[in-house]
Amino acid sequence: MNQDKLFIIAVGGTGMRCLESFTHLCAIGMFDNQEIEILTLDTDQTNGNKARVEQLIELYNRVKTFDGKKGGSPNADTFFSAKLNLYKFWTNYSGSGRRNYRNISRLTEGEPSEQSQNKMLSDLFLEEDTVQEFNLSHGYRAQTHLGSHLMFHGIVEAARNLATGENLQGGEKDLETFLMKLEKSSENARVFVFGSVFGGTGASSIPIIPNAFKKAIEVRSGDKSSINLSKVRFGSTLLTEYFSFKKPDLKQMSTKDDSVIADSSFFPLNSQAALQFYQGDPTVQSTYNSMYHIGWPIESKPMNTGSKEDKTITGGAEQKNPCHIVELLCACAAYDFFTRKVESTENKAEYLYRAVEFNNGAFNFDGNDMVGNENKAGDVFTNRLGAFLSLAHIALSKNGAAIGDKGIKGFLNQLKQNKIDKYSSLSDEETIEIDEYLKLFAYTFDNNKNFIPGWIYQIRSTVNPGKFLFNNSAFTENTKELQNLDMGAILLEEKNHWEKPIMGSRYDSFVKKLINQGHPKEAQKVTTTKEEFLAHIYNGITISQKFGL
Amino acid sequence: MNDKSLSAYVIAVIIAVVFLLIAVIVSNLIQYEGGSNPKDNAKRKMWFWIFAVLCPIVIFIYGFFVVRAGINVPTLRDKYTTAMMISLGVAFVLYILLGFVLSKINKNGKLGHWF
Repeated sequence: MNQDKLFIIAVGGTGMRCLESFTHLCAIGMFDNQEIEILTLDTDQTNGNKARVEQLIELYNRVKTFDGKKGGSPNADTFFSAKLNLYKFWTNYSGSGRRNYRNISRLTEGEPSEQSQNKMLSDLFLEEDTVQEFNLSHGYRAQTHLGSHLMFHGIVEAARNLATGENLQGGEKDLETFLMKLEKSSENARVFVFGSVFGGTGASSIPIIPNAFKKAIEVRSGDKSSINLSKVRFGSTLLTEYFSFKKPDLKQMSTKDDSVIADSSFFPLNSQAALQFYQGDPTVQSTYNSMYHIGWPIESKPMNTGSKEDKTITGGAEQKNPCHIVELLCACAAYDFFTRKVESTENKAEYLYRAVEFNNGAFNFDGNDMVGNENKAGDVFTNRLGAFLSLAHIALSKNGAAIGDKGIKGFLNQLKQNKIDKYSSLSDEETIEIDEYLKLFAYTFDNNKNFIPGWIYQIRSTVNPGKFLFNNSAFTENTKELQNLDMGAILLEEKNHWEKPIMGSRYDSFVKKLINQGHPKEAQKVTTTKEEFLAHIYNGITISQKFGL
Repeated sequence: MNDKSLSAYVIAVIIAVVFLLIAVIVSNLIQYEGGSNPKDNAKRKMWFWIFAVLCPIVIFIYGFFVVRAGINVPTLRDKYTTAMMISLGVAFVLYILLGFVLSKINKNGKLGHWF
């Protein structure tokens, strides 16, 4: 991986879900030696997807934290190797005078001639009774022409507040820190934007982010600083529609606040229009280096948020959609952008896409489909994802963390009995944090013994019945099968299965390798007990998987 | 020492080594358990000591009912009985000793739990 400074911006609900997949890529160790700055950008502070990913990153940072060093430090060839710094910014549409476009743009203020011109201009682009009146607190509701304008305004307004130090809202200080780091990195910065193009906040924000950030840096510094958009490298997902949801009915749309509600039946049309825009727009061409076209060409999956409401969910805490493999592909697009040689734009963005095997009505994914095969990236990805899933099963299945048992602590006790007790100083709280992360990554059971699929189980279910790197047995939900799971045989290729000794199980041979060969190496740059422990398990599992990398 | 008496010691050593090998195999077959109350170590230790007790019993049964039953000369039979009884103790001690050595060589593995 090159040594450029990496930045991620996740915009809107879909952007947040892509960020979730990206966080798991960091957890499996795909971004060695990196300290990554992450900004969550939304209009909807209460969005469920936003809350979920921010909690995930905060948990990731707690896993890495040891001895008071918050978030740890970058490592190599181990789990949780990247250091993640999270910043949160959201536009404020909740106060008085900010609920809708008409309030924010103050159409009824100023000289009568100004009011008249402002009104005519607004009415020209934005429908008077609906688009100008709907409640903005749940986002721009697929009105991207409005959204682009307001998001640009929101970012620049934050910069003005920062410059004066007055009226500072939540998230503005975070935005300032993020922008300062971007300005400092300048030509060495690689910025990747996660968002969709089929109608939400992402679609509104992707085209304007580079210029908005440039303007914000200039406003905040009183024109003393700026960034050169032809030097800073920007990349983005062009994620077209892949889910649908309940069509809004007339009853729900009868109030002014809900006069505009996104309708997923228009998403394919929105995507088509958006792609035409991204193909030809000069602003996009001059500010973005790479655009990754990602879509789901078979029938969109209906989103069931589990709400008992008859209403269409417009946003808020109830908008917590399950994970989809296209989100992982977006995260892999970020990996590609961060690792490839990116030339300066010369006013020409590069459009990238990848085709995947489609057979008997289903897609079949392997490691090369996710991250390509340059420098054996596909093998690296499969090795690390497989290792992390094995670790999840060691904690959740073998040591029962999913049903409230000891989890990683149980595994440490076993190591102690095998005379490896240098990790005994890890507290229960620290091991529980690793268990909690693994539950979100893989699965858990609730108090009523119902199976709750985590991220990778959800990803896998979107590919079913096609192939996804692992045997079906790796994704069992049955308690007994989980207890007896052969975690050394989860990968599809037999050559990567852990050795099966004449006497004993594959797990036994893994423990032997862990004890005899798995000790952390200097190149892994691990300095704390927790980092050493994670590196030790990483070594034990990856040696057992025999990828020879 | 006559041949029969010597054979008592040889048989005892062989049976002790065989039982130790069986203990090694059984310990390796017992899988690592996880969770808050793993019992695999206790199981390995239990089987080690079960075989430690079985070893002299088997030697006695073989020596008394098979070898001694075939000795017709009373003085030779008495000498053999004495040698056999001593060999029970020798076998037991040898089993424990070799088990201890193996356990220390394999201290990080499954045999390390014997002691």
